Amino acid sequence: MIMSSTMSTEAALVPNESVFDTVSSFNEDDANYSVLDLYDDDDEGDDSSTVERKEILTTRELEKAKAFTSLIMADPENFDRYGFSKKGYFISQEEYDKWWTEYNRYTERRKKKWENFLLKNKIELHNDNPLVYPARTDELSKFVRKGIPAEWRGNAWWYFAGGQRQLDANVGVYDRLKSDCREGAVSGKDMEAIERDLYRTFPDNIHFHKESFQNGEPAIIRSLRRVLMAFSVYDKTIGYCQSMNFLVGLLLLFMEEEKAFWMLVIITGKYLPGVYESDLEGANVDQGVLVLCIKEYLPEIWSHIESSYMNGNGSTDQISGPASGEEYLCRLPTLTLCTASWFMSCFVGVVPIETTLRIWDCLFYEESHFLFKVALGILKLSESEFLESKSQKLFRQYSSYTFGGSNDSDSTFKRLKNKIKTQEEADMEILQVIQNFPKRLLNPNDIFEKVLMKKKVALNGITQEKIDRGREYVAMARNRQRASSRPKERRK
Amino acid sequence: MSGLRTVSASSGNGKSYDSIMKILLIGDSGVGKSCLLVRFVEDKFNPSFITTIGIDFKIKTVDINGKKVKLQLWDTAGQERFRTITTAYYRGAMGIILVYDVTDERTFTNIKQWFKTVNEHANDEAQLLLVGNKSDMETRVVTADQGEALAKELGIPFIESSAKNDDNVNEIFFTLAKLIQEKIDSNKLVGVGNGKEGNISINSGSGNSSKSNCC
Repeated sequence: MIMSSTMSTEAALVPNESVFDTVSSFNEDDANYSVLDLYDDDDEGDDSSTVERKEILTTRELEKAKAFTSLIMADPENFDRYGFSKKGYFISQEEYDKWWTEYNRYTERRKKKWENFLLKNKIELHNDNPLVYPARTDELSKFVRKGIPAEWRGNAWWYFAGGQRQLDANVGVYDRLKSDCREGAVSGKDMEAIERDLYRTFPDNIHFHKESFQNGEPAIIRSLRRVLMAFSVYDKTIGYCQSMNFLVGLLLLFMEEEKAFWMLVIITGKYLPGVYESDLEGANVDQGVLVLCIKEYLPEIWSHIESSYMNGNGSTDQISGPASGEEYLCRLPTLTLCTASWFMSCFVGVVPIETTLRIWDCLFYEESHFLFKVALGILKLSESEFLESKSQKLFRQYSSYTFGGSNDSDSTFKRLKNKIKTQEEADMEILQVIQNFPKRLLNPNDIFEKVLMKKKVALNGITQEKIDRGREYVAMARNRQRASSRPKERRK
Repeated sequence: MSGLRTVSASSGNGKSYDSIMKILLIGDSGVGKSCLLVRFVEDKFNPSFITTIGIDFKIKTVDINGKKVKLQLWDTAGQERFRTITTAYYRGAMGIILVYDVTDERTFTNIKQWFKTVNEHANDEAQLLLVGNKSDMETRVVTADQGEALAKELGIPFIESSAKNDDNVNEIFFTLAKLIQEKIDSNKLVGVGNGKEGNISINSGSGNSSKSNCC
């Protein structure tokens, strides 16, 4: 596992000689194991050549492991424990280090509580990587929401999502899919899209870089290719959809590729049905559900969306009059252009990585309604910036009326133009707030402790059943609208 | 080159710009849409960009013929299936940049399909611009003459660029903004950016798919 070697990198930062010596010894053994595991290529061959190949591979991989470990150790201060660059466009290295100093202590406290919790429930730690967890109770829910220990995540996600059941029901399927891919089963279009996206998945993560000491491409890139190709053959109604590269890329940092494959099957089939299909209709449906939730739980934001929508915001269709009750479920508000990617990527690349991981802990434990809670939580936190934009709009509107003067037609036209202009400005500013605000959610507890774990916050009452009903409702509304619009098209 | 990269200071009346222009970048996945955008807005080039999912939105204020203009720049996913969720993207667009990759013939061939999508969803008066990106690459397969010929056929201006070398990147956005401003000044585009009045008369189903805005 990658986790072990990168975890050692973090430990090596401790400036204590005796600890450093101990860590150095531990690190070497563990890194060799994990990097060999990472670099293991499971191509098939006959028995005798397999034996020979393994010996050769082992020697080579040992050399690579040493070089790889040296690379990580050489520059530990620039990368986090998952291999991601600490510094980003929205967060400086200083901000990261300051936050991490405190958050790391938080994770250590949480892990001790987890260990006591499992001990109390008589569950084996299995070399610091539990395979099973206690029965689902409020207590376990609270533990998961406060974050699963980083080292445990791969097995924990697999357990909570029901991965083993999926694998047991499909023994040998992944291997057959890989064989089919080698024999050309992947469509040219999917193959080309996958190749283009491999190195555009995590260019800021060290495990996804091609380094000078490597003869071929990084092992994780090869795994990513195999999983995406296998999936495109396995589910032909989806094939390959951009954003799936992020899902698998992140899974591969925590688990081996066959498990990552089945996790992708679970995400695309159970958590986000229809979202990745060739018409992305599930994505549109989910955005419709999100808009309904905003209307119910975030009335201030909804009032802005409605105001913007009824002003047409550039659409000819709106000239005829105000939106009907279901219009906005079919012609989705502009806001959804931003929020659609939040769901498709399950917040990978939307929020900083530690926040993404906390979201994934709950996604696999609770199912997809949690994604709606997160989206609403982000919008709720960004609401103050929303309101600032709105007050600016009102100021400009007042200004335009002040200079509007008399009621002659020119002034009326000018006021109309100004009103539309201020609406456009507010839309633009709010859209920018929505797009950029989550990128600065460095501390996961800013959203978890302030919003998602507050019982008084109404949106936390959202259940999976409510979301599923919402999906059915929106899908029906969209189908009705499409059916009713066909006669008009025929008339033309 | 650097002299052209003008960003205006805030004006006295509390507004930092005179008008807003919404500009879209469209084209196949991997042609360099995001690279062009980041080069223009942030003057950076990263050879390994992250895949764009849905949309990405950036703002830059520039000076066009003495007017401060805030450019609303929209980048989007190029994979074909994303067109179904980005039709809302075309609302209110005043300028649209169609991008292909000079090293990939298929992206050039697909420009006609993108042009068709634009005609289906965008304001008829939107100003289009054809861009052949990655002009720095030795593996070029689409010549400048081919690009010029297609642009002429479509009736739109044409520029070749390299986001990597910062060749003609500013020219793309400034050229387009100036053309948009000309249309605004001659009342072909409503300055507020939503094209509402213009759409009333023009979108009457005439089906006219050719544009005669050749420069």
